[in-house]
Amino acid sequence: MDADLPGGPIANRPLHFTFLADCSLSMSGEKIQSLNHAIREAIPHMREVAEGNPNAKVLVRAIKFSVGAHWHVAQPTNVAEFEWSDLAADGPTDMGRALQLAAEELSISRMPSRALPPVFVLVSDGAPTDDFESGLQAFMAGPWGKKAVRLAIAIGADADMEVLQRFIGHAEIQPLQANNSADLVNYIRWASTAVLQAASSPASQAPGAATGVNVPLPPPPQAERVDPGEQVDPSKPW
Amino acid sequence: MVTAMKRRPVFAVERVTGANHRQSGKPCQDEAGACVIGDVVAAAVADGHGTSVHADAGARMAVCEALATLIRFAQAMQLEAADVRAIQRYAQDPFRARLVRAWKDRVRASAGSADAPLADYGATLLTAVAAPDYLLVGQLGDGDVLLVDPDGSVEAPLPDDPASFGDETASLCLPGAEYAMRVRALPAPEAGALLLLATDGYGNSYESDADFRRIGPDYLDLIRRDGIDAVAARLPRYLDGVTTRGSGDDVALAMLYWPTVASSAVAKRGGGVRDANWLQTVSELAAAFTRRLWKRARSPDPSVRKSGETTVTEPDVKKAPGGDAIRVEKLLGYGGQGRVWRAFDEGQPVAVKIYHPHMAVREQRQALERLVGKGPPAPQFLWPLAMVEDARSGAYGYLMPLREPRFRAFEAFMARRIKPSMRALVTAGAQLAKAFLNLHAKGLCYCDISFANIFLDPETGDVCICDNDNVDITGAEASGVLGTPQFMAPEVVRQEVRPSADTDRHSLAVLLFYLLYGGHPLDGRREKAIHCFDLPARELLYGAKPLYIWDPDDESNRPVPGIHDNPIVFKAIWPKRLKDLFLASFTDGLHYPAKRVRESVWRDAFLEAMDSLWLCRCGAENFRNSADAAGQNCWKCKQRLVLPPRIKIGDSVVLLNRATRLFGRHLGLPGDAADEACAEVAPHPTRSDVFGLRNLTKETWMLTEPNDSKAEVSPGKTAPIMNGARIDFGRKTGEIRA
Repeated sequence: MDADLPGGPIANRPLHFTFLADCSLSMSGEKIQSLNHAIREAIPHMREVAEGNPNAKVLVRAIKFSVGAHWHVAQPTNVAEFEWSDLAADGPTDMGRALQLAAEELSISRMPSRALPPVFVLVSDGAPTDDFESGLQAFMAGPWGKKAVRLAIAIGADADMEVLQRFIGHAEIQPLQANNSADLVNYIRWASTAVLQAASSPASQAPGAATGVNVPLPPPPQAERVDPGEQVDPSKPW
Repeated sequence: MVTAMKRRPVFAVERVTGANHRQSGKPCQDEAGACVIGDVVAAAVADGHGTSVHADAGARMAVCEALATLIRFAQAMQLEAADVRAIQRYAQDPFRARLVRAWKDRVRASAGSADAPLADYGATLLTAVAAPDYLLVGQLGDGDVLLVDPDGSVEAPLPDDPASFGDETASLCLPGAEYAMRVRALPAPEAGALLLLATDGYGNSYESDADFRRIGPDYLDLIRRDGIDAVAARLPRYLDGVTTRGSGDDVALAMLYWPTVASSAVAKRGGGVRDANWLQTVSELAAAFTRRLWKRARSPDPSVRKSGETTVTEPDVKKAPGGDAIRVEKLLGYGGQGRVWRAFDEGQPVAVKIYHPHMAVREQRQALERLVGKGPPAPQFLWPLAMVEDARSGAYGYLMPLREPRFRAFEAFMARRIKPSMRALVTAGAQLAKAFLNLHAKGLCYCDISFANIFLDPETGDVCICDNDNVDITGAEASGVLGTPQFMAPEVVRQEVRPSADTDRHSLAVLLFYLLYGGHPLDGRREKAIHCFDLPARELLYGAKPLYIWDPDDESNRPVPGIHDNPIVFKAIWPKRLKDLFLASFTDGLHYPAKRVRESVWRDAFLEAMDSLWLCRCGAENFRNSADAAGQNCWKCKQRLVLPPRIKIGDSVVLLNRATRLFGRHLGLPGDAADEACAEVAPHPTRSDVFGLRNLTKETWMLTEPNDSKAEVSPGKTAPIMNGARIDFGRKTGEIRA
């Protein structure tokens, strides 16, 4: 039935969701492929969350960093049309530059005047090789950087957990350590669905729940919960 | 079930850019796709018109929407247990119309305009859906559908296109496309049969039709010899050869092969993993198929393997305690609490939810047992009907009715992916009010009313309320989560009280406001002023400083044109009584829980709105405000509305538009009979401008005409609608004004 009904979809606000992906040389091989896989895997589930939240217009972007930082997907893309093209790994870990690049997009002039809290998911397997401090400062300088939901996923045991923790900036939220590709799938999926849901429509918390965060996050999946259907050997660490 | 799996075909699809397009650098304007849900396989190919600007997008959207519509159709037919003749009937109506509508909606949504030039996206379409008992094929425009018997003989199951004329072809973008689409339902082909759907670039590559048809037995031989996966892998090369040596046009091909028993065992292992969760929902499916989807499902590309729930062992379910076995069929969904399966209880399809063992706590079980004991408060609730146990995991769960496929997510309406009529919206309002009235009357509260739990039938306005297992359980103790701030009563947002029937009433009012106004009652200038809409912002807006957008004493939170357009538009439409109830809900009701509007008052107001529905000659729905003695203008065409005949029964006046119905409540019938249709406005059998009131009851009415002559109106007969006539319905008498 297609009735004569005036009006249109309910008012929405954009929700900018950005992947910050480490493409340094140490990511080459299985790690970068697993990251490509995990993100591609998460996209249909992101779409489902977006469909269930008509008040949010989910726009996805991606920054890659190795020698310097570049937009992998520069145009904020409606999640319904978002497609992932594979990242390749090469070079150092210019994480600071990546934060600088993100900070430019978070400036008040670039951001819309009405939006939902932006979400940033930083994925890295190593330590920054450039000036991380200046990058973080630039990122946190503006109001949108402070309000952003910042998550970090460490790939393997060599990632600099302290740096990732500083990016997150909340003691109660810790970087997630993915020890194999199954973990990575679970974490990326959590970040792009449960966290996306929380940023679109945050749930009110009972007294005593996490404090000091403007978007309370649901608990992340447990690392030991290994996916039974996964083809990679989950016991094999990176 | 394994027996059903045997009959499920395997598939391969491919498309290639035509040799001519490759030379000129144009994109491929053909699209192909297929998908599997349970034991249903759907496939489609489309050919965007060479002259259309967005032909590639048009074809892609045609395939996506066709797959979604086909799956939805097959799911609905499963519930109907329809035979082949019924499938044919339903395929002609409403399937064809829904498919064409879905494509048009998608094109308009994609173009961001209701006036999008459809011709820019025009495409032809070939479809097939294979279920255990039938095969349904469809064709709109040119292209070829070939059914190859196991003995290699080829048949074209669809009749020639009666509208085909030279090079012109029927198209999705043309008026009457739904009628131009040819459909045919057949019994499921036997094992070893093959179905081919090909765009016209394939057939045009051959000298004669007979030459072209030879591809049927050729593909069949190849599949038998090497298996469908091997053939699928070679398809790009084959099709490339076809277009290069032949038409030069883009080519898309979909094939469905019904394996013999030996090969189905192999296919099942591969396929079974996929269908457990490969795109569980149709909405996900429609969104996810933006490109050649089969590649994601078939290729060794690791991105297709699903995390989470890939190989889930079916539970071994028994009615607790130690009761009858329930046959579990397939996984419908999963979440943080548990998994929901489609199952059969004594032959009837039902849903079974099994909790994750770590979520199956004693408190939850006790609460569920209480709900089972109380029984469903109203038919709208998908209520826990019986406790079940999973012998395999030791966890418990419960059995509930299956949500019928006609129900669509409330969010789909909020996003305007569905467009119900206003009559359907007020019907939904009345049903929601009555359902929560009954729930509260049983001493229960829902605690988390929000649009995530509500489903709507856009045609009728019937509603369906899900996730009832948290009724009466306060969520905070278990999870630390109180709910969704935009629906929570201000005092709950401020964490002063726990959810109760009083706070449910606020949530209900917000839900009803979303239903009628397509927005939030507290989102106005204050919402606009907030840059980052995070949890503290919501707590301020909905908890600390709530202010209605039309508060008569404080204009500081009025809706902002350009952002909050829906509430502004609808304010001029709904009847005054409903507007007054919203005003009470969001002024006094925000601060004094006892002053919130009772569910019975909402229900009466929605029923009254239904009676005051006023159809304009332009077809738009309006509502009569009896206060406006001077008359009203139609919101759409702005012309003065012409008052239709109406009937006064007791205190209520019902406008008699085309198809208006009177219900038991109008005639004074009590209980469930109050909601049954008793009369409807029907046209005269031979004179379309004359209307009467048809008796849908089993009782005889007595009609008294203006000249006092009397006549009986027996069941099924129609009383003329004339000024001054009186009808004695038995318990009540109505008088007609015309």
